[in-house]
Amino acid sequence: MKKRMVSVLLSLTMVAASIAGCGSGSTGTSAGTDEAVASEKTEDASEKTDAADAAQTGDSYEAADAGIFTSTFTDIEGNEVQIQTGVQFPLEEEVTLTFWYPVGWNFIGEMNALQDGEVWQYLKEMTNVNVEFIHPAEGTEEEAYSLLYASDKLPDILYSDLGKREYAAGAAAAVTDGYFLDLTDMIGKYAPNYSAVLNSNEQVAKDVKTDDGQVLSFFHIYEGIGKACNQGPSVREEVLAQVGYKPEDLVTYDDWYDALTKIKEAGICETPLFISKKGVMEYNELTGGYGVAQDFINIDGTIKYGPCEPGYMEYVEMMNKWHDEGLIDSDFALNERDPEEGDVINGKYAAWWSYCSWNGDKKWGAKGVADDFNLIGTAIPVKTKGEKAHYRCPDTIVNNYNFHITTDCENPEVAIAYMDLFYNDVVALIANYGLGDTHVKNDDGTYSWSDKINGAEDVYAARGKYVLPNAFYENYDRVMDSWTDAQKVSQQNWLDTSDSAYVVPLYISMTAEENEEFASIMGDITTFVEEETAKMIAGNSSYDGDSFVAKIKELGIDRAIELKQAALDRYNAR
Amino acid sequence: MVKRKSFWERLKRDFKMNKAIYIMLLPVLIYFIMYHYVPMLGLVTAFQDYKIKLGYFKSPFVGLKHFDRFFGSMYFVRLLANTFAISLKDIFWSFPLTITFALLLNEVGSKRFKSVIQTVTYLPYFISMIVVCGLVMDFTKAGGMISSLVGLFTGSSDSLLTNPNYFQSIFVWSGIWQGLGYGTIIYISALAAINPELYEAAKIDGANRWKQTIHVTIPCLIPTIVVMLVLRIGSIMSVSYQKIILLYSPAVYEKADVISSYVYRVGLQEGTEYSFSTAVGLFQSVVNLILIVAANKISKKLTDSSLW
Repeated sequence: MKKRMVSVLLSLTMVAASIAGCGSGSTGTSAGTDEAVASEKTEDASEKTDAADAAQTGDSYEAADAGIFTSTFTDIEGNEVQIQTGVQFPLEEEVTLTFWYPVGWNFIGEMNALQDGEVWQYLKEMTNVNVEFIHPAEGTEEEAYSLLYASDKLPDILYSDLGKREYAAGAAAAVTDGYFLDLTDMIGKYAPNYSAVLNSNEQVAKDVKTDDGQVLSFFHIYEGIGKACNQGPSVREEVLAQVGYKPEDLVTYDDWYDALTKIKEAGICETPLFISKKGVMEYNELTGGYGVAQDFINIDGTIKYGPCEPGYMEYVEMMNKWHDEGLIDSDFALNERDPEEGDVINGKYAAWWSYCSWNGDKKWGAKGVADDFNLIGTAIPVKTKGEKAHYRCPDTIVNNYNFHITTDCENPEVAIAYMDLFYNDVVALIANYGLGDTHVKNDDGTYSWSDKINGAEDVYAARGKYVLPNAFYENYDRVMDSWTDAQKVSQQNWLDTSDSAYVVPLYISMTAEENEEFASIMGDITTFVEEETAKMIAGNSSYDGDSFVAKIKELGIDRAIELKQAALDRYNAR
Repeated sequence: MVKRKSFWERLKRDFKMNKAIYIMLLPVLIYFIMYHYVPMLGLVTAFQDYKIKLGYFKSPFVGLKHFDRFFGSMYFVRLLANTFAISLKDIFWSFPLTITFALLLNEVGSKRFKSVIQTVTYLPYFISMIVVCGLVMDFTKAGGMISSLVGLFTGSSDSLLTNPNYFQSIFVWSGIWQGLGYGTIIYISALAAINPELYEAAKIDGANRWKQTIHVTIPCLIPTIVVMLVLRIGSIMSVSYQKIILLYSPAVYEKADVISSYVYRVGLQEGTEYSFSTAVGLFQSVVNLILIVAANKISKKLTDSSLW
């Protein structure tokens, strides 16, 4: 008996050990050594910053053009030109930069990583800088990003995404905490082209610089007038036609209701409308007409929390009705942000949200849903005809993507000068339109993609291979030029019927303390709102409009609004 | 009477005699110290506003702030209740089922048949969690296979997974489907170790198969069962957050949101709140420790067999 007991115990210890090994992930181990390394690095970095300071006459980038180098590059036509650069390119010795960059794998195609693309190869030749990309697995980007800060060494360049993937306490805190370099004083010396872009446009400078006037990253910026709203509610035109509607007939919520009901009754689509598990569409496309969003909104400079406004409950009640009548999935609470491919192909939905680039016969149409498949963007619905919705995907000049140089970067001046190249007209043109036969020159001197990209079997893979999928200084015309009429009409429908006046600017920022307080309040509120919204739509919530709002207030929304408001006021005062 | 030698003297002598065994123990000892005891120092971060770059020594000390935040959350009671409910349901169903299954396997005469059954029931254990959850989701969503089967009786093939009343059952039963076969391994090895003479003696006394099971097999299994149960009780607070997150949705938070999934959502997904996560983890571990000690004590009293 005793002996058996021992053997059982031994085998159990083994099992337990393996379980314990898997389970205890929450406590860090090697922080002691980290710390030493970190402080060394920060010292390093500050020395370099000092050097940059000293070399430069003014105290900000605006006054600086001393120490700018001229390097020889090949332009889009293959001619040699001189351009301004932050360091002398090509470097005498090869420098390798690691670049953490989440990318849609459709852009990678048959390449191993983005650096196999032609533009990166061209830049390698021009600069002698070898960029190594680190692509996190798709779907785990946010998590992987958070975990980066717990690793021993950050990549040299880090791709952040405002509102989605940022240092929790804000970029300014990441500088104080010793993760990112403060570029404010360095871009004058090492980033002549980026400085010029910032100086050329007040709005750009306002969005890029923090409340304290710091420049902390290279933002993805659109040239010229920028990128207009490119996502919104969309319907399958050929399905609408079967019940006697045209996309432009869908103006009010009642129109939507009638059309969806007819589609349902005719048995064409099982559940005609797709919404996500949050009870709304990706960019709150259907709440705009009620003047709310499932988020903070900005009404003429005053911050409000959408779910606390009366319009939100009107929306939820409408969705509840649509839910009961089977116009949306009975288990919409399982839906992710996009409809599942199988469901679309099986013709389950007639309407969902879409990007312009997915409209017409693109993306879904190519998968054989129906021969005459045509996805068309329709107006953001409103309560009564003639109204205008004020919440939709905003027009953008400064994008939410931005690129930080980390303190672990051994050659920060090279990294900055390299990133700066993308804001140079010569390089930007190549980044946008590619080399050789990937573009054609139009009569007015502008460029467009050639059929090598537009006509490619896999357009996304072609874009990843021949041009930069998100050129850092992007000319959005290149994308719009490639659109079909259906795509152009889609965008026009969204632009004509709505504006984004209620959207809170992405570029507002809070201090580390404010961020922490805000996060601890919003943790419970977000859970509460998402849960009760889903349940109210499904009709099994124990809350009604008044008690719902009262509960959110009880959880401290007023303080969260105050913090957001202060951040917005500071932004407006920039 | 010989005077009993002191502990160190005995250890020294024992060490000389069994040098090889002690050397073999060394790597295990180092492993546990390195990976299980040293990291415990990291628990100090639960009482700090921990920043990696500042490290353990420079991060500001904030006392019980993170515990206050967790206990003060409106969802604290619900999270605790769900965690316990899911774990207890799991123990209630999977424990007896695993044992029964092991006993049944033990009774199977044909070796070939037995190993086929074993292989078939072990297989699901090796399927990745994300695939299993994908299957579960497809079967239990509106119009899914299981939902439709249920619909034959109830008349509505609505989604089972978004119904708060069913979530915990789906969670527990999919776990049983996946882990039943694998869970029997330890019992089968214990069964194999039962002295055949006991069965022979029972046979001579005229015991049939059923009687042999009741009077020989089960009593011999009791120590294993108790140890497994005590260990399982010691992990009541740790519900697999991966599986919860893969299966749950806002509509079923009320029954599905457990401590680990809440911490993941609030602490990791929306930021890097190491201290908050550690504080919650510490709370979970303390409760687990209390439970395992209590369970061990009780089993010692009742059955005479215990973990230590």
